[in-house]
Amino acid sequence: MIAQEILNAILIGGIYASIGIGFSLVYGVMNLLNLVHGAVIMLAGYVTYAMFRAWGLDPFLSIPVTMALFFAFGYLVQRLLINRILAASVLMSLILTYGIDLVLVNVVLLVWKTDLLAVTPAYAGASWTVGSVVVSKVRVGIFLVSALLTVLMYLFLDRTRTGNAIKAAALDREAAQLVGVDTMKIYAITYGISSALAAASGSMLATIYTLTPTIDGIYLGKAFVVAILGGLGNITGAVVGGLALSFAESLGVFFLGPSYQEVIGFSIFLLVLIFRPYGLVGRRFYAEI
Amino acid sequence: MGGAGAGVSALLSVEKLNAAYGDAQVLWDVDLTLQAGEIAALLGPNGAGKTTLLRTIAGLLRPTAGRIVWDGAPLEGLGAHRTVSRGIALVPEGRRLFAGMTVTENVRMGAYLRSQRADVHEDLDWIFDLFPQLAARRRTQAGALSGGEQQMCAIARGLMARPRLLMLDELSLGLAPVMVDRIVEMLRRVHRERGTTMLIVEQDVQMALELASRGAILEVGRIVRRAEARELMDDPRVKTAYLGL
Repeated sequence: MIAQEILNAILIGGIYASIGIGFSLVYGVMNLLNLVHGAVIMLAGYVTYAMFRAWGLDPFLSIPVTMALFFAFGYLVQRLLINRILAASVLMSLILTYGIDLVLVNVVLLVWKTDLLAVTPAYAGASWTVGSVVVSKVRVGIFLVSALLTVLMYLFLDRTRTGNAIKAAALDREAAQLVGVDTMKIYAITYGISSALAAASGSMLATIYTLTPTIDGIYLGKAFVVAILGGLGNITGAVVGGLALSFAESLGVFFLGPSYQEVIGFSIFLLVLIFRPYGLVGRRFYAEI
Repeated sequence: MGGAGAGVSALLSVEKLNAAYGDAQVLWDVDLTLQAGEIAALLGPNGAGKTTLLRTIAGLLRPTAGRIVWDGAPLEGLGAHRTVSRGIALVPEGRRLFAGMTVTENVRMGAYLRSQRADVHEDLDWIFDLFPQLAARRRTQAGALSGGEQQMCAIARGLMARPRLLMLDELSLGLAPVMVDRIVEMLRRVHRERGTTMLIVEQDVQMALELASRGAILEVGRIVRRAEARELMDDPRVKTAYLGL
């Protein structure tokens, strides 16, 4: 059933890419390894679950809500906390973002306990059958939304004034300030966008993976691997990285068995770090995003 | 270019300015004034604090003491992005272009704070008329330009803010003499057409004193001499120390 595995890989690759893009964007713009990324994906999943339970809100329709909510969250976290320690050592930013991650995990534990939860809309199990291949409707939806968000992200960075300011701040912070970019505000917007992308992924992933309070680490791991595969800070690379990881996982599961899924991802991660530390996709100029 | 209080109509006046990187003080009680429309040169050996003075005026560095008065209002501690909006642009040492962006994107970034699209467009035409060599490479990534073209692009980006004061830090560094001549010629044209006030920091003292009408010499963080450009050029001490004559 290799065709089935390839299809699954493509569909999941889309969402891996959009997880990686947000993570990579934050690194590219402010050299920050954002350990909160996985927790935002997780928390957005729980928020989606809560809205589904309380009001029957469709998980796909909850995407705009979680995106807006976590944009605001990200903007404030960067503005009030992370901006203060950007000038300090990398260790400080790791400690701070790990701390925020712990807070979010404990919020989840407090509100939702440790029960395994799932968002199950009526169409959760629905699928099309093409020959011998089963095409899950939810996964197709997830792929399409992820692709749309990725395209919008490109257009935003390329075509808008704020997007250009983000690029400029990534390429040279001081030069950006010299043309009038308020870099502290741009950092907050960047972190907000990254969180919003993570939240969209979280809302969608809640429909296919069970919610647990420890899933933040797994998602953070995915974001990290995807971003490294594509070259940290490189958004085009993150798309390639997302597909590369999901293909590796799917084929690994197919040939070696499901218990090897995580091992394969991280093995590739190590190999890339050793042999191509700048990622699978090369860049001409440093911090080109 | 005079000391503090030289002339009521000074566009920029720096008074008893002190600046430091951490514990290392770089500027000591620096006084400097610029009249509207003049070109002034700031000279001095490496490490004297010339770049630090420009960075402090531009708002990249907060002074530890002293005042910077711009057009009658205090400027110190405003931050670089707000200083640009007041009409002061710095073309930094080493050009500092956005390497991964094209020439046009770089130049356009210079107009980041300007909202009048028609004016920006007009200026863009003016800039590319000023630098035909740059116009030919509009779509090239800035990082792939030659040194001279990069310098032109950096000046173009600075001019796009439509500054009243343009500060240029080491514009001739690493450039062929013919390229320096071309850039100086174009700065003269900007001065003629726009009346832009300029403050230039240069290693090429000869070029600086030909372009500027007045000069000041900064040594170990203090202004040690202020004079007309011609006077400095004829000064035997300046000749031996900076012109290698």
